[in-house]
Amino acid sequence: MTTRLRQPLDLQSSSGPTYDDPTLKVHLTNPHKDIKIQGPTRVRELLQHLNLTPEAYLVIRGDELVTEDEVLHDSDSIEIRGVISGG
Amino acid sequence: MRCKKCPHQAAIKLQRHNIALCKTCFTEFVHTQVARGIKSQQMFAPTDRILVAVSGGKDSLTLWGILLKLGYQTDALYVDLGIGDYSLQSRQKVDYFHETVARALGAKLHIHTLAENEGAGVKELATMMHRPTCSTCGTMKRYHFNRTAIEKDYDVMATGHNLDDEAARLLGNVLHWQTKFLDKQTPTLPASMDGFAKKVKPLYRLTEREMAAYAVINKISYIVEECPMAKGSKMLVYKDVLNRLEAESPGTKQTFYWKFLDKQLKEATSAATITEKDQQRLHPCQTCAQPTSTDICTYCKMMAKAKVTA
Repeated sequence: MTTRLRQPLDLQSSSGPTYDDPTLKVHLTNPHKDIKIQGPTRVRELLQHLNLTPEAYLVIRGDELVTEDEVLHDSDSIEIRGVISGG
Repeated sequence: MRCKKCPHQAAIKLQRHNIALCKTCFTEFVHTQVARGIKSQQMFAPTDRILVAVSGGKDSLTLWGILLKLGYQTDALYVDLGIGDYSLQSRQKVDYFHETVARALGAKLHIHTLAENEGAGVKELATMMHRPTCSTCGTMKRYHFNRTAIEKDYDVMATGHNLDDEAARLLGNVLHWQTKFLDKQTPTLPASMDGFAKKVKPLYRLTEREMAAYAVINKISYIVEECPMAKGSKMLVYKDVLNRLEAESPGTKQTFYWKFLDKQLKEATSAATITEKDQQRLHPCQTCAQPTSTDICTYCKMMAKAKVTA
């Protein structure tokens, strides 16, 4: 049974919440953090769930960019890369 | 999602243009935007020698690569700030790009190391001078980029400032009504007097996210980590605010900055005006001869203070 994403995650906490039997591996860079979420979910929904502004992040699977309408599956391992710098 | 221009799978959706593009069409889009900016803002001619300020980040390395791809004779300057592992990693990224991409296209890389030339890294210099690190860093980089461009006879100096940088800076200036800084917030600043290099920002039409996407798509290895000194930076706050507005109303950043440029153009805040103002206000530093509004420039004052403190 698929767990739906509802409440935004608190990315500031040292041990972010995970779900039972999590399999979709999400690595956030800048700052670094690893979380696991149960798929399938669309990129757009995942960013909303993580409370991340789409304009400030890229979602990368392998070394390819993933657009917001794509579905991420349990077998996926993705990077959510922050692109904003303070300079 | 399909590419708007061809049958391939899209790699990125550009909300502000309401289009999705594949890797090839997006790369062409970025090149077109840079070329358009260079032409419309009269940045430089095909025969000009360009010096790009590189940091190892996505914007400066992609700018270097794009200018070389567009056929411009473009060298780079890296200022080693001596910020521990961060500087080591950023230097590696710059060296790697030079060795794998730029050198084959005839480009040179100049290096200036603060620890060797100024006697300490930027953090230590800032502590000695009781100044914020970011302000000290800005002074050091501006001074050495300008000086290198002048001494090595480059026609123009280019930086990787993008649309987000310029919109955030404009927001900060407007929020504090610092109108005296607005004249110089153009993508092209003239070589207004002896000792000043012409300065340009060819990425002003492209967002920070687009530059990062270009780097990923074109496999440009850059330093992803933020500078550890940038924590708490006001620029990050302004960028966050603008990106939240952008999410609600795509095109906000572009409209904010580009309409400002249109307004400046209509009000004739031209290169001539900037030149006149600089020539009235500035004169050579008594120590190093670079233009300054006081007897001794900020860099030389800082260096004098650092020598006393060391």
